[in-house]
Amino acid sequence: MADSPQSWEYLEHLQGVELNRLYRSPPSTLAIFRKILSGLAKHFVMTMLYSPRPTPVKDFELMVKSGNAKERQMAIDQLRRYSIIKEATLRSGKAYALSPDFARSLRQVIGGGGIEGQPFGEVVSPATPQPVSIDELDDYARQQWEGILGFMVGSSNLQELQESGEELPPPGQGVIELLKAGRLISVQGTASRGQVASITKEGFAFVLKDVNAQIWELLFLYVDNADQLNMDKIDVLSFIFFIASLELGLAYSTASFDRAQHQTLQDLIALGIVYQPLAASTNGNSKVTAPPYFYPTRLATTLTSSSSTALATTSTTLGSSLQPNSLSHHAANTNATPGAGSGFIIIETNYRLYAYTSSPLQIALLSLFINLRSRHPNLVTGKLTKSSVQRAINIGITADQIISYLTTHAHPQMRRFAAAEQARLDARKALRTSGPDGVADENDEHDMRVTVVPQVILDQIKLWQLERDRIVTHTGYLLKDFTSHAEYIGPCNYADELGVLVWKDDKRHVFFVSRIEGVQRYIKDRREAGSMS
Amino acid sequence: MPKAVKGVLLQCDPPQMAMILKINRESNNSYIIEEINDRTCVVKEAKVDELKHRVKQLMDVAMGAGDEEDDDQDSDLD
Repeated sequence: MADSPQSWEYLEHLQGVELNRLYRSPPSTLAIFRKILSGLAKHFVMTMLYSPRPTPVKDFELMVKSGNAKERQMAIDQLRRYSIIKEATLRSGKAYALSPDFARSLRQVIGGGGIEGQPFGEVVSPATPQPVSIDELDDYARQQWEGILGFMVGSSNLQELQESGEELPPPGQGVIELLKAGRLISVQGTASRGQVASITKEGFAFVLKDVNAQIWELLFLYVDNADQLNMDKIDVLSFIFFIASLELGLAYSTASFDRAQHQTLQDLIALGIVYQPLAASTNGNSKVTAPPYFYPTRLATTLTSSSSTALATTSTTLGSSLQPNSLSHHAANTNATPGAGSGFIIIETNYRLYAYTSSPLQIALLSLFINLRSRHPNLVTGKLTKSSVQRAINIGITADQIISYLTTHAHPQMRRFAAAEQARLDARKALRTSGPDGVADENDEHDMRVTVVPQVILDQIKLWQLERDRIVTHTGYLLKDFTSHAEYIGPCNYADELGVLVWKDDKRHVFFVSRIEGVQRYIKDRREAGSMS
Repeated sequence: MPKAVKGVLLQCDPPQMAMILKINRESNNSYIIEEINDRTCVVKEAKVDELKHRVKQLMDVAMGAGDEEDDDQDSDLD
């Protein structure tokens, strides 16, 4: 299952009608099926897809072991939130039916028949005059994307970036507007006189995310602002899903695009998601014209991919690009995957850090939470200190983001060292348990794992954060005023099954949920059932 | 009849909660929707950041601003 980043929730705020319009386009349907739905939800959809009648609620219960009712509820809830299934009645029993638009599109994708036009793009054949290689596309995507991130990070007045003189191409005006609209940066001054941009708290959180999540966040921002550009939200969204369904390394024709789609295409070019080789027009004037075709870059083709390896390739091929692939998000999991050997950071137990990089972007990022000391042609050194970490926390970076950054970019040598330590530890443990006295000491109780970044560093970063930030907050709804324990416990357990329960107090009969819809429905259903009996 | 209230669940340790309650009292209950116990309360969504900021300020004063020890000293590298 693809872990759905925060930005996907954007789709949940769309109206059912809007979602159903989106489902009329096969690429969008496929993308949502692949990227958003959980494994079990996919299973449910496939079961219902070719069934002419709604599926009774009881059948869903039969499909899942009774011990896993929670997963079943979550899957059904997810499908309902995205208006993929809706309630129906079958022989006066409760049942669920697939949205007809969703079902038709998905059947078309699988069956291949009955599609008007070419929803998955028209490949230009014979090949374009000057074919563009995949390497060139990667270069272009990297340049554009690093330009955007560099612009954001560089705007935080970090000396390193300014001194280095290695200028990344600044992003286009449209992109800057987008970042502004998303409040990732705030800008003073006018375009003609040079702008002074400063990165916001949200911006810092943004630059430390993984590439895929970053792109989607920007794209959803773009969709959200489509109204201002006189474009229809749903049209833009389905166009983005269309672009995401294309194949890397092929050229696609723009012949069938309408005006709005051409405009969106230009904006996607600025983001590095598609590439259009510009050719000087042949009839002598210096005007540059866009050819009637374009190439999707790797940023586009992995947009809706649900496999983490594909996402990892994006992270590595986009080179120094920032961040963790989705594999290593959990700090607990810190020595799970020896990455593709792209790491460059060595951090010692005495908090000193050596980073083998000359990328101004990386150096700027490091300087967010490291006190940098010296810079050499291929190396920067610095130290992690209480003040540097708290400075980072003050501008909105979390300890987990720092840790995940350090872990994913750890130098291969650190991984080797951690692996060797782990092996030694395991060997010692095996020796002790099989030894003559056979006494295992209490340390064996918790299975020690050696982390790539030394444990002492991880703990200290968290402690430094705790010192400043001891308040935890969750947005949502408080449910209160239950008259009896019996009335309270039902919805409360149901919320827990849905995975929306944040906190509860059994004595006072109050609980807090992150989403209300499911619980509301539950309470309503139960009241109706109660009044009937 | 159960009721649902929109807001932000705020969890922290009792000393911080004491500060939050103090701030709330001093500003005519403009932050807290529901006090639950000495670790939990529900706060108005629009006011959370402001409240956090004020708690931090209060804490800085309480802990003394001058405790910034010079941990950047790293003599053997110089």
